[in-house]
Amino acid sequence: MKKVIELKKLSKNFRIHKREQGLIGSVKALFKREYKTIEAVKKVSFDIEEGELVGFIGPNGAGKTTTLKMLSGLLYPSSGNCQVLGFRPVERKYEFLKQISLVMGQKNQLWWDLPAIETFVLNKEIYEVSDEDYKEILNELAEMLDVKEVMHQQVRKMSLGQRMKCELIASLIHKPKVLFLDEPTIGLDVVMQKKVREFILEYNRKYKATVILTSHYMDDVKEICKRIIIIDKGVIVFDGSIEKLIKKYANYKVLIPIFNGKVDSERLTKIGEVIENNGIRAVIKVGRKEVPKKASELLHEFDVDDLDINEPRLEDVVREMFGKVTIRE
Amino acid sequence: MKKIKRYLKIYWKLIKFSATLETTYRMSFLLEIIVEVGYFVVTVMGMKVLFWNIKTMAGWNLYEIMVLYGLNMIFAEIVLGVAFIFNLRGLPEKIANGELDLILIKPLNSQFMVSLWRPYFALIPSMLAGVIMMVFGFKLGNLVFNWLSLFPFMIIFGCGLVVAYSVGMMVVTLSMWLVQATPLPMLAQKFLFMAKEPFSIYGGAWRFVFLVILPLAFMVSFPTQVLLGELVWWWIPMGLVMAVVFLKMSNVFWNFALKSYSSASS
Repeated sequence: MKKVIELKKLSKNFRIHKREQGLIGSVKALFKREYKTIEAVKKVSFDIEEGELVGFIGPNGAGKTTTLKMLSGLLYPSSGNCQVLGFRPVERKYEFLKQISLVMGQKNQLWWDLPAIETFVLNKEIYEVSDEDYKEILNELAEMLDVKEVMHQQVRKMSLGQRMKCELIASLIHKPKVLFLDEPTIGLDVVMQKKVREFILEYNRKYKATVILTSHYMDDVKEICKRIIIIDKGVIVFDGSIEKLIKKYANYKVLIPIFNGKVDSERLTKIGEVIENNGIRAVIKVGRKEVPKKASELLHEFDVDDLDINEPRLEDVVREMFGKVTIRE
Repeated sequence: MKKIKRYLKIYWKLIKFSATLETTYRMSFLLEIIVEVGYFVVTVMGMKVLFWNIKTMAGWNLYEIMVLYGLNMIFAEIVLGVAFIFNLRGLPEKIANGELDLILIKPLNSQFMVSLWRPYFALIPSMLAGVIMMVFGFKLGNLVFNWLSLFPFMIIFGCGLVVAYSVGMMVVTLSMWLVQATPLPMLAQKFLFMAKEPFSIYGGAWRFVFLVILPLAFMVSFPTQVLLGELVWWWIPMGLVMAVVFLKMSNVFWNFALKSYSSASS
């Protein structure tokens, strides 16, 4: 497989001035400022192959967006190298920019007072898409996202979900080979989140596009990505499959029994750590090695109707990895 | 050539978009007309008061000054409408809140995008007011208008516009380092409004400054003189050189500044 994205010891430092408290502090800062350097990304290295779907996750301020912005040529790295599609992103070569796209859930490129279709037409000109290709891709994308009618409406009159779908179309009208998605589902309701996810998967399948996705929603990552890269305080702490992450960082499994009668949580503590219990259905954390023994104990000592033994949920593992920092905002 | 055609095509689309939006906000057109009528009256009165006491100002009579001020109105409105109001004026904010990301990601010249993305048409009435003032100057002062002067006028005036834009662009580019530098575009505009004085009022070292370092002379004064029938041989070649040099400088400075762009966190 061809490597599409390569990072070698990529770092980014920001120089910011320290803010002092209160009015006096602010006035003082006008005359004398103290600066400090923040290492947002520290010697990050990884490769991504053509057509891969990679989830890039980490707590707030971990360096996800900074890395994406360096990969898309918006920020100059402080040191290290990166290559995307064989180009150095910082050079912002025309041929490079024509093959990538960056979708930011919190920023929009659509012309607010005009119908979304107008932005698509403008992007067609900017990316030099031929009339035939434009018609074909617009038709396909509008069908996949179900916005054939909506895209003729003024953007300001659209719902957040409709707007996000149109943002995606505007970003994909030139069929980018590499797609950077920075929180594409932020603020969307559950149904809309699912639709956007399905769309990303379908787009990747159809056009063999390489996708890097950052998201605070673990469902996004779970459903879309086979590989995840976790960054914390500017450093990569994990790179691999979701299964590998769970096996590596969660030394427990979850037993989910359904009882025929009511069972107290207190009685269940001898099996393991009770996370949830409504009397009939319980969720119990049990050490990986003890699972067979504890499961049999449970079946013998309680009136169990059904028993599931599951791996822990991705969000729980990630949450535990980052201690008290929660991934979901 | 293909590149120029592509940019013209994109710019034409942007003009159409902006014109559509402008028609949505008819009030700004009306307000613009009211403001311009007021400005027109005040300028004419100011000139009248000035010329009660003097016959000429640095060799210019009242009617020639009317032509000069009329052209200055047109000049200022073109620079403001094309590059400032919706574009460079908002650049410090775009840099501060990271909206510049959406511009830099596009396969287009980023300076073109930050400068010309959204033309502002509500200034057209002001330009008409400038034309009216020039026509009055010519008529009332019995000044001779030679159609042949239009060609050299267009070249020098065009060069002046490019120089003015480039100076403005360089000043606004400073906001890359001075985040939240909203006064910068106003400062740039203030510079440009100095262009309305006739070049002949400056003496000594100032002549050099306003000819070479900040070539205000090419913006309004020289073009007006051309319209009034005066053309010095070196104005056109020097104007062209100044336009190319200043535009290039603004481009080099902008590209250098982009290295310091820190975007904003999401």
